[in-house]
Amino acid sequence: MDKVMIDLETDLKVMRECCRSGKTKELSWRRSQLKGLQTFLKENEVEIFRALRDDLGKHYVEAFRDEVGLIKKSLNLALKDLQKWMSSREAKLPIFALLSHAELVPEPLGLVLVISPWNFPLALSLEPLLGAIAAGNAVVLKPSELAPACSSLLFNTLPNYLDNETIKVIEGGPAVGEQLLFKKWDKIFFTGSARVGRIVMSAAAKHLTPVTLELGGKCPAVLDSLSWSWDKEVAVNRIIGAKYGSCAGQACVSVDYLLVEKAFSSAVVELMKVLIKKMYGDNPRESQSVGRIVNKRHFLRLKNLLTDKMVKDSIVYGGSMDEDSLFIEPTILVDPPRESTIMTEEIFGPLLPIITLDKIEDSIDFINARPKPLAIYAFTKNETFRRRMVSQTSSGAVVFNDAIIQYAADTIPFGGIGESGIGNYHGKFSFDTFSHYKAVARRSFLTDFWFRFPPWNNYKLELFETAYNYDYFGMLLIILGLKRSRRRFDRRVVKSVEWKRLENLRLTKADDSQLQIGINNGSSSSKYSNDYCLLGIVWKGKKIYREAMIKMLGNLWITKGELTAKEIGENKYFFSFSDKEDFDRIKAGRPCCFDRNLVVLKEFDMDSMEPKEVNFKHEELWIHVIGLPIKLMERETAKVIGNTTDWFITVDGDGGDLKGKYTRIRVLIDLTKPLKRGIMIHMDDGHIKWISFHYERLAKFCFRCGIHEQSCNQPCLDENGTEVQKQYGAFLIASQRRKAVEIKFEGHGQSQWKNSDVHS
Amino acid sequence: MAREVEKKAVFDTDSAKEVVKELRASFVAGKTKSYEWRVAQLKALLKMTEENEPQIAAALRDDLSKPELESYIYEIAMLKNSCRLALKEMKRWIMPEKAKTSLTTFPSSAEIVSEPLGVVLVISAWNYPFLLSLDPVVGAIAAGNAVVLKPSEIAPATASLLAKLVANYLDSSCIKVVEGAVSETSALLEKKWDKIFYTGNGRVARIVMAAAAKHLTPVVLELGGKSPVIVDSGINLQVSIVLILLHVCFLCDLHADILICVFQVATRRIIAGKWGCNNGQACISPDYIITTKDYAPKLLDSFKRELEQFYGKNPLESKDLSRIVNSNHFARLSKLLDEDKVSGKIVHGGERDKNNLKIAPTILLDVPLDSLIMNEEIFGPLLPIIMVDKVEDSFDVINSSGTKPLAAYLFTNKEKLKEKFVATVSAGGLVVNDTTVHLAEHTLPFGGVGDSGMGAYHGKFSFDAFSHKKAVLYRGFACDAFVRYPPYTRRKLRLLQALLGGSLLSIIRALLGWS
Repeated sequence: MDKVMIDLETDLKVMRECCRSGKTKELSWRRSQLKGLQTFLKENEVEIFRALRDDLGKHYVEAFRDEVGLIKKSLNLALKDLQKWMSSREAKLPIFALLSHAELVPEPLGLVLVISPWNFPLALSLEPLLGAIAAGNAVVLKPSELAPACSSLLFNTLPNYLDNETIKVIEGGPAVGEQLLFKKWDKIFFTGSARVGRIVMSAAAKHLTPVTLELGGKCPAVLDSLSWSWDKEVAVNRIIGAKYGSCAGQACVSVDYLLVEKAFSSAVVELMKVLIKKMYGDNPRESQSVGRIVNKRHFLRLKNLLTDKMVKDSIVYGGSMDEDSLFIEPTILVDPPRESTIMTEEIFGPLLPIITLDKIEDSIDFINARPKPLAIYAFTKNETFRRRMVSQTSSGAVVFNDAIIQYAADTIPFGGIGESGIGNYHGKFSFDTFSHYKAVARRSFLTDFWFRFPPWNNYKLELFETAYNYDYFGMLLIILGLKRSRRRFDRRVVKSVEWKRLENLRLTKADDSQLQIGINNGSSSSKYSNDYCLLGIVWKGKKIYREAMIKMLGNLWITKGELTAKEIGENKYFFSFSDKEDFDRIKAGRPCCFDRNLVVLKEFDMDSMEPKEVNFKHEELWIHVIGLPIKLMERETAKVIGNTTDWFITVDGDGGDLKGKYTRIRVLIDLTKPLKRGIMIHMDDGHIKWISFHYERLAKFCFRCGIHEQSCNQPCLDENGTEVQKQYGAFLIASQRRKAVEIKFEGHGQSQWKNSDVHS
Repeated sequence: MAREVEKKAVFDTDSAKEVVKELRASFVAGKTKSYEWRVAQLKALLKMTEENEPQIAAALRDDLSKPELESYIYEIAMLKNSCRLALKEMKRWIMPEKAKTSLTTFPSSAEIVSEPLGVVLVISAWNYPFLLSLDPVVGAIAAGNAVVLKPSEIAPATASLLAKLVANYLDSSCIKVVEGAVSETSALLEKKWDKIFYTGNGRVARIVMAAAAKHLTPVVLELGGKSPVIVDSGINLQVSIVLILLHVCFLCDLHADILICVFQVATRRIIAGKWGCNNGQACISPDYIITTKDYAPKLLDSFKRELEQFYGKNPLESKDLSRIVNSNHFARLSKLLDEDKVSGKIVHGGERDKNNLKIAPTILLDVPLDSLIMNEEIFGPLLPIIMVDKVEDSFDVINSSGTKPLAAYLFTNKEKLKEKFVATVSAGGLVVNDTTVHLAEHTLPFGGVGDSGMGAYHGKFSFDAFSHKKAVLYRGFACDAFVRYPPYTRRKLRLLQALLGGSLLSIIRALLGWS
């Protein structure tokens, strides 16, 4: 055995190489192998009939009907349709994918393992084999050792007709099977019992190998009370054929038990007796037309089912058996106890329990109370009942008014669900089972949507939305600038959401390491002596949740060094920076806004000042001076204009840089006074020009009186005591600048908070 | 809320059992099978997404600091799309498919009926925590299943948001979210499901499949893999630029964006797939590049230029790049970069910020094939470039690895090379001249092969993944072929031969006894 396994190892390597070389992918290879199979069947028909008789006592007509003939039919179909199956399938694409082209290309999986059972040793070996070949795979076939004659026929004769480099037959029992399962396959196709199916799938899991499991199950037949005698006879004939005619009931698709209405049951039993006699004669044992039980173990299993005390009494027909020739007579039982083994396990032999029900509709509940079978056979002419049967039960297949025949149909998938298996095959489905449908998309370089790429903005977002909705017209409008982006998906929205979330702040581990909100409130002032300090106040705002404030500013400032925050009064904070660079940067980056509230920041000297001394009335701002003639865009003009404000500080850029849409000046403004909206200037030529001011990062202010205030609740009055109308508006807010010139974020992410005192 | 927390704390086998029991009861009652239920749930899912966009984006920012736009494009919009598609097409999907029948079973008619599988489990990943959780759920609902969703614990904000939203918007007797980590997942896996849909890595996938084997549960495994990009030296970017200019100029000359962006299409498409997809933490993002020795320097230059344009001079500060999900993954990626053989090969980027879990887009040139970075899925912003003499050699590089990636990309203008690429490279999906776009096409199945997974979804394929194709065959009582029944005779054999051969003439001949 070891030698066999070592050989196998090298064989598998060779097979993999062959796969990789692409040999098996060729249409000519697949065709020649399928033809080889055809020749094998043709030239060895007699040997096959003999082997099937030796293993299972199958009559040659039965052998032809169930095995040789079916395979021949499948081969014909595969040879005829192979080219069609192999061709790739076009996938439709929307216009959105301009100049693209997509298709589904079937490709072989690679190296596959087929494990076949003993009950149809030839059909269940060759049917998957031909599917695997048609799909272009290298195959190892392991026929069941329980049908030794067929197994050795396949082992000795089949290789003569096929390419031995890529298709191998390996003989052996469970030990060999186990060895095979250790190897890495690209697909395992298993036909057999659910118990072994579980073992196969567990083994496949180690290599992430997909599996197709063709298992069995108790397939029920439901016989409605048919009125016409012809119908009755045909139905019963078909049930008998499906039960005793296929390998003596040892088939996964054969009828396992029969459900009939109580009133109808005696008539059915009588009819059955007659028809069984007609088919198998008075002495079925002498008849060549009924198969044998495969081996002693199975014989004894069936014998035990029958000799169960409770079951024995329910036998109404047959029941005789002969251990030497492994023969069991076609047997009918009526109403064996439902909890007996015969009604809980798959019978897999020529015993037919008939269960009587009050109403035939009860059969649906009866079936649903048990594991999902491979097939349900319903003999009925009642349309409503049919529909209910299809929609309310679950099984691999539903066949009306016949049994087993679905196995011969190539156009419907054959396979189970739940306990009866995974995956399906037959006809094109066999090809699909052994293929991977590769998605192939081809694009050209010629067209591309620029909005696919970062940096992201709302405009791109809008375009994506229209594209996803296939709204081409809308897209065009947006591109042409005729439709405005209605979405506001900017950071501010998200931040405010974050802020809401913070109300039930939940510290995760990650937060914890960065945001050490300690209880260390006894820190002495000397601790900060070397630091750079700022005092901040939320200008005339509502009370702000301090944790949110601290966290948000930490996110905003992104300091290099340590940052400490302390709340020193309502909406009043003390910040100290360990790094001068941070300090300078934050100072230069003023105004600082939080949730559209202005946070006024003031430099603070720990040694000489008291917090109360600090005057928060002023804040530095950038103003855009808009409307200056190009000629006047220079530093001197900017300074002159700046001096009309409360306190001019500096001009952004120098001579050349000022020649833009506006001039930027930094000024200190008095927060208690209304915002300046602009200035009149007298030009040299005598006429007067209005120059407007726009403010960068403007916080909330009153649209009526123009004063920085959270909200003026009282009516705003002027000097004369009359109420003012809306004089100010959002036009005072400077449009977002593309580049933030004055601030360079060089820190490493979030600030390092230390000893933040959150006690008020 | 408090009760929920309590429940979560003790989520074990028993609670899993309860969950499954409840869902199975709803399924058996037939609630999920009705078309109306499916439509109502999908509409609710759509509404849930539409009404909570900012919250979803915020959760994603919390978990991965994913740029809002990326969240929108790759998660929110994709999900809305698949909801809309399912709503539009579902009626057609659930129709039984008529199948032809042959002479062998004459007279008969047949159809293939899609039926729901039952109670399914969806286990999703952290990299696209929203989309990868709900996209399979859309398929499961459309197919009429009851669903348990287990979002990834590595993206906690999204997971808890999902739990909250799903409970609020969807039918909680049929669709449930179970939050939790390994122990909760194990408890769930012990139960019997009718399908398990897992997105994640190969190691856990093996555990999932082994657990599924116990109950013979079919699985769909969406895994990853090292998805290669082959860049042919012949791609003449200049030519295409002219054409694109022609193409777009008539549309508009207002947006300078267009004019800038048409440069270096190939490079841009690679960048969009690599760093634009969650900073490389996506299962289909390019893992490494194979290009010719001559072309590598040019490619590198264009990468440098475009990267700066996208993410600025200091990409660690860029708001358009996601961060690394957690410190474990950060350490793993650092290890890949710090390997001796590899650390000297960095030609661009390499900056790391441990505190904020950020890694800048990094390109490595000529990395040895036996290095760590070339032997495991990178899943991060590192992009090694492998050099070959001839571009045809790159197929060998891919195939010799022995594993099949989830996606493979090729950039070329040569028709022959494209054909060879399609014929020789095996992967879940192939894209020529672009990256990751196949994901957005619902007419293409999305799924892996071999090590990159099994089963596929998206669009109708999602529906199919959660459906059982039941074969239904209708026969009448007329025309019963007596040859099927014993006693068997030689004449019956001949007739059977003719019947299965399917030729009418030979059937008649056999009936008349002439053959």
